[in-house]
Amino acid sequence: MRERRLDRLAAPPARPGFREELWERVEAAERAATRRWRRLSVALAVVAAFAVAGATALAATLVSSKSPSAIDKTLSCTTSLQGQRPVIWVQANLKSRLVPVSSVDVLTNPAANSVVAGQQTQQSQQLAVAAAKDGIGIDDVTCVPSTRRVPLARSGLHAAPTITTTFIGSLWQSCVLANRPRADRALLHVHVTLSGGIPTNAELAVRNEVTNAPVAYVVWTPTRVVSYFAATCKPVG
Amino acid sequence: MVEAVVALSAPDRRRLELPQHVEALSTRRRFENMLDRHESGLRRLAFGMLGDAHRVDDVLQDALLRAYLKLPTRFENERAEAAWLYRIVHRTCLNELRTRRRRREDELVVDDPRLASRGPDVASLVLAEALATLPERARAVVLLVDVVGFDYETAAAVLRIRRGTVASRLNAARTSLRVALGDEPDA
Repeated sequence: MRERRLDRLAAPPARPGFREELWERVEAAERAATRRWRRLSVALAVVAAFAVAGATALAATLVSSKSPSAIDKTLSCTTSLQGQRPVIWVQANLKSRLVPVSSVDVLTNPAANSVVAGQQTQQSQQLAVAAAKDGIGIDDVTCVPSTRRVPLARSGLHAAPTITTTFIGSLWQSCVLANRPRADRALLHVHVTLSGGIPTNAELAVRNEVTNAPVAYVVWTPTRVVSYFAATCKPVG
Repeated sequence: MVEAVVALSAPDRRRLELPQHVEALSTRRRFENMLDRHESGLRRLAFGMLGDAHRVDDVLQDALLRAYLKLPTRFENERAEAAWLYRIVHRTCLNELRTRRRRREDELVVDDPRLASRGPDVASLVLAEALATLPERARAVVLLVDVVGFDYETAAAVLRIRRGTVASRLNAARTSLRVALGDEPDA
């Protein structure tokens, strides 16, 4: 018969920061694994390059005949409050020794990286475009398609330094959507041009859905990012 | 929160072969979800196996790191998922006990003041002490069935033993545990 006294066995609660520590260790382990794979892949790539050249050419032909050449989407995404104000992040990286893939990301819930309602959660991109096969992703839980018109234009925004693979290399802007403690939704309009299923150019416009105020406009290519931001955007880091 | 990253373009809504850093996010979310469902049970298993509240967090973190790095793409069902996760924690606890024996660290001498305020209650300590008198194999069975609440099949899957072996070990373990808790042994 079951020993009911064991119901009273309560383990000690997790120490503060238990999950953050775990994720830090995960990231460190992943970085180490990536380094190992990179070393191995460089060696293998040299050997494999000649062998796969023909097959790659054929595959590229097949893929390009099936993949769309452009994608145009407008999304309405939730935001979360940071310091009592709705904030979104716009990030872009160009390929470098440390960053293997050039990409542009929008995080409309950056505050989710901290403790929310007593629970530690991970931050995540709501929209990601990367220079990789099928490298476009949206978060379909926090974002839904929108029919609102969001012009892909820089009007009302200030130019930020253009980044290239040899100049700065990345951008990270934190944009306050409104000066009140209300998590307004953000509108993201993205137009991506693809070649063989790989994004080669993306235009991204971000607006506050409630006020329709322009927040950001980014023109991304794998080697160059031109960006414009509202005065409420500040560089992070 | 975000559950999956999906293709904007694919008409068949197939999953994207996303770049590593995007892919990693959905894996993370899946793992977080698994943790939310199992952490309490895993913690009780680790505490019961180790009998040492000070080591639970570290051992659990080692096990979870290992689990995350080897997380399969999918599981056949929830039982398979639970069995896989609990097996990793169980094995990590056994490794810890083995290491402790080698180092002769049966008694922990360091008093962690942070733990004092959030340590287990007296009843739990008494139970942990009684559990510590059981052999590791018996302890694992009684923890999985009587504490975590698994059925015999799932416990058997965790320990990779037969269902009948679970039943016989459990019977012996319960008897020993009652004796350790001060009950009269059955006639």
